[in-house]
Amino acid sequence: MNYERNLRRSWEIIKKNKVLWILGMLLGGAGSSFNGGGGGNSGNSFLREDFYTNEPISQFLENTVSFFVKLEQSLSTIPLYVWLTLGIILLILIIFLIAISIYLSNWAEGAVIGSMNSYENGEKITFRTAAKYGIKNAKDLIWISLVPGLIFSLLLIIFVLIMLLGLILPVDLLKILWFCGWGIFLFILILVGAFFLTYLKIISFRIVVIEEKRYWEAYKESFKIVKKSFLPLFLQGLINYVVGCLFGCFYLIAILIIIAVIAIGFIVHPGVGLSLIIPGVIFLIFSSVATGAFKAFESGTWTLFYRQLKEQEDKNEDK
Amino acid sequence: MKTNNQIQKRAAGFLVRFIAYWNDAFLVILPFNLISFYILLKNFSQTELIKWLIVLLLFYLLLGGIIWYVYMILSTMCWRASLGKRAFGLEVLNEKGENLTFKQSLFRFIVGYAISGMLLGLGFLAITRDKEKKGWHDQLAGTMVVFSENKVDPLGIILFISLLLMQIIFWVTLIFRLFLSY
Repeated sequence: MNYERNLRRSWEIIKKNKVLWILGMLLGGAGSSFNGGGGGNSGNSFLREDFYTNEPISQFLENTVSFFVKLEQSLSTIPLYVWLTLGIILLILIIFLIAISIYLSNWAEGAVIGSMNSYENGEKITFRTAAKYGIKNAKDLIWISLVPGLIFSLLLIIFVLIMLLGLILPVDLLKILWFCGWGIFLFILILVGAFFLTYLKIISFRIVVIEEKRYWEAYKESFKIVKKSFLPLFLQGLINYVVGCLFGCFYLIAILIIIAVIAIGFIVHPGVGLSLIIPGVIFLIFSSVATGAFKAFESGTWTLFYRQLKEQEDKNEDK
Repeated sequence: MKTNNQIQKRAAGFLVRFIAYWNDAFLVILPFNLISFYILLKNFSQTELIKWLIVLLLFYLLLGGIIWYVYMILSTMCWRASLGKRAFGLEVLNEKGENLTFKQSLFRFIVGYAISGMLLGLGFLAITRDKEKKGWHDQLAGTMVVFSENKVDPLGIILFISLLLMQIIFWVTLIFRLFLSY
């Protein structure tokens, strides 16, 4: 398995295809990494003393304060059924938004995997071609994302409940042994299970998009592949993790520098600080693009890994 | 052939689509404005007035997005364009020059708009650089916004100015009533 080739080739493809940077933003929820520029207490130093003696402005300020007092009184008189109705609408809206974000991230995953694969087959990557891969495979990818995770979580809950049954044991020593035994078992289960499920998901995604199989067949096939090729998968995962940490370090350093510059700006003068916020915010928004590109790069390495794996399998079968 | 019709029709540029967008936005806010006007005209005390405006605002904040998307998706699917676009004589067509299906319309406005709007609306500004005047949402969904009669209908501008004036009058009245007329 040529890990270096996967990284290099994925980087080359990402560099040439900016469409993947945008799609990658939906993969990692890169937009949510945006947390705005640093803040600061600008204080009142730029307000002159005679500001408060100006008649119409002081009247306006009085009215504003009075408005907020009345606002507080008004809010307390709103009937309970109104708050309940608003709460229900908010809940429905949140569920709706969660459903959309699940669809978007899985659609983007299908789009990126399909685009990478088709580029390696000599085709051009466009928004339209990427979108088609995403639309075609989103439903199966959602099943793969949600169902195994839910089943695993359910099993964990059952095992934790079994572990808690130890509380009814009469002897303290038995309780300790019970908890320790189940605790170690659960720890190993979570560790191995997490790795296994992650690799199952990664390979299943590729099988759905590249081999055009339904989620259940893809999952069965990926189970065989993960069992057979656990070590190469683990190594690729480790390499991606290290590369991810390096990227994360650079990203964090850049964010800290921006925040430090803005904070220093505010210390020098509030006006300077305020004027630095906008470029800071713009930097943070476009750094989300860099995160998106990285997420697409990561997805690309796995797609190329899967292609290599299939090539090796086909070669072995020919022999 | 419909495909030939689509090719012969002139693609709509960024400015007319931008103004059409604001027409639609003002139209969606219109019920909020009208109900607020009704509340403002009632002889409520200041506290009662603020209470009902807050309730209305909260409902609209929560439902506004849903109303917007339902309006845009259904109008584009049924009439080839929203009212704001139709006022300018615009149509939204798919690659074959036909009406969008429900799925195409849903995809364009939910996924397409999410992507176009992600980077400070860069995907919408892409309309200015594209040869076929397509934004990212159009490229993703395989759609195109064209003039049905190959010319700008002045009704769009008249609608925009009327709705904008209405908004200005509404907000000035609201601020005056809440902050200045104690």
